[in-house]
Amino acid sequence: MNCHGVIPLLEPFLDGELQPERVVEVEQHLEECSRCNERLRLGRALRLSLRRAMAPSAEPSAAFRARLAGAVEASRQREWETRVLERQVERSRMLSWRTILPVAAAAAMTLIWAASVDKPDRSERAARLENASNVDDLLEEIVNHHLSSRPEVTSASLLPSFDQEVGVPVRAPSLTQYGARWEGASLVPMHHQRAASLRYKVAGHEMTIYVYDSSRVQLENRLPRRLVGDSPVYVGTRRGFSIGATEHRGVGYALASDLNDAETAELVASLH
Amino acid sequence: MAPQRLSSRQFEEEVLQHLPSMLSVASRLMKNGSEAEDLVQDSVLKAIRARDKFETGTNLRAWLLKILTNTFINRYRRGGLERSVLDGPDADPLADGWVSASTMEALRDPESQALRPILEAEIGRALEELPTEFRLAVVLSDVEDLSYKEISDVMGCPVGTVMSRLHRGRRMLKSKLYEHARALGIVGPEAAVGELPSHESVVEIDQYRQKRGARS
Repeated sequence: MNCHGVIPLLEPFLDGELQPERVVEVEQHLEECSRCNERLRLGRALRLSLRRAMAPSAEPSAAFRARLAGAVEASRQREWETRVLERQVERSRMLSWRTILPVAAAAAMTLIWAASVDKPDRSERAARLENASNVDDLLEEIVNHHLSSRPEVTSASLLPSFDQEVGVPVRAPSLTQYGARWEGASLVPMHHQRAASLRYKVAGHEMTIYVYDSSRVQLENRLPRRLVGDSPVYVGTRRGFSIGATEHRGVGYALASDLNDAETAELVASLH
Repeated sequence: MAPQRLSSRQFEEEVLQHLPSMLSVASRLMKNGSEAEDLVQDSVLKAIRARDKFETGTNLRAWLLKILTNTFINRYRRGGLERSVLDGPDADPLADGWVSASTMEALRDPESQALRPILEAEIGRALEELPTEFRLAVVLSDVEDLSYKEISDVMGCPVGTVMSRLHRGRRMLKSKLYEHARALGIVGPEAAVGELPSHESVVEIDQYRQKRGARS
């Protein structure tokens, strides 16, 4: 190949964008052509000059870093507030359903209206709430949420922002020694309080761990007590689901899954 | 947590690692340092909000530079990057700016260290004089080491256009640099023969030199 053919290839050659067979041809030509060698050196020199000239403008100042960190933090806060606000709107809708439902006739009317006007998931939720308020049973509520709640946040680092709503520190137990995989979290109403619902998957089983303020929500007296090692845990079955509960320093933990009671007891005990 | 999915904090940290690249490119698009910082800040915030759109396993730096370029275009260039008349087919693909490598190397490694800041300022100025889309292509390739494909994605143009912008950008840069260096007296006229007249191709350079030699 002569200079005429090689010159258009020199830049892709320098940029590492030439196909291997072309690279060989260019290298062969470069061995015997001093002019093309000079062109290549020129390209390299230009690149080095550019890099060196631009290096100083790439150095972020401490002041800029600080300003940026503040802006990122503020943006994160806004993003989070928007999400909390959306959740609160959602919840206030749910609570208004709760007060309407006992008035049977009105509730029936409203449900018909909701089913015809609202999105399909609303009528499903209304039906679930109806069920929950009819039996007014905490265990029933736990099973219902386990069956229907979907994670709203998938990042465990956002859990601390649940603290205020739940009233106790919300942290995701790791449970990796049981092969449990974290999926995400949401806030759910529990016995007129708010609980964090943490979703896991254990060996193909869906599992929900509820974190709540144990001074306001009591599960212990509704479930048989048993000991795992020295730890007292409360385990029972409702509608085919195994439910376990325990309390540690004011934080209540409840677990719902289709595991057996012995497995539930062990998992709940590990939350201590 | 879903596998391979970074938490938002981890993602923020990764984004901030590419701050130097973003600043470096922004400083070639904006007139002054504080405008460049504003552009970087807006781009960082956009990137963090759009983190779900980033495909894990692809080049995060290229993705960030694309956001930065789009932010720049949306804010300052509503009509997109200017389509220079030079962006059409190259009339004369072989005519390249002829500055000898020894001249470039003199510019790169001046014997007098005192000249260095002056030369670096000259390179910066030569770069500033390039049309934006040529300047951006050259910086993304020569300084940021992006591939042609990545540059085409950042600039929203075909790979062929990237190659042509790079070629012409570099060619202009070489000749501008030579003019600057000569005006400053850093290189003498004998070190280079300047830009070739466009009707003459590079393969005829020896002939061209001989002609010039014969005339002088």
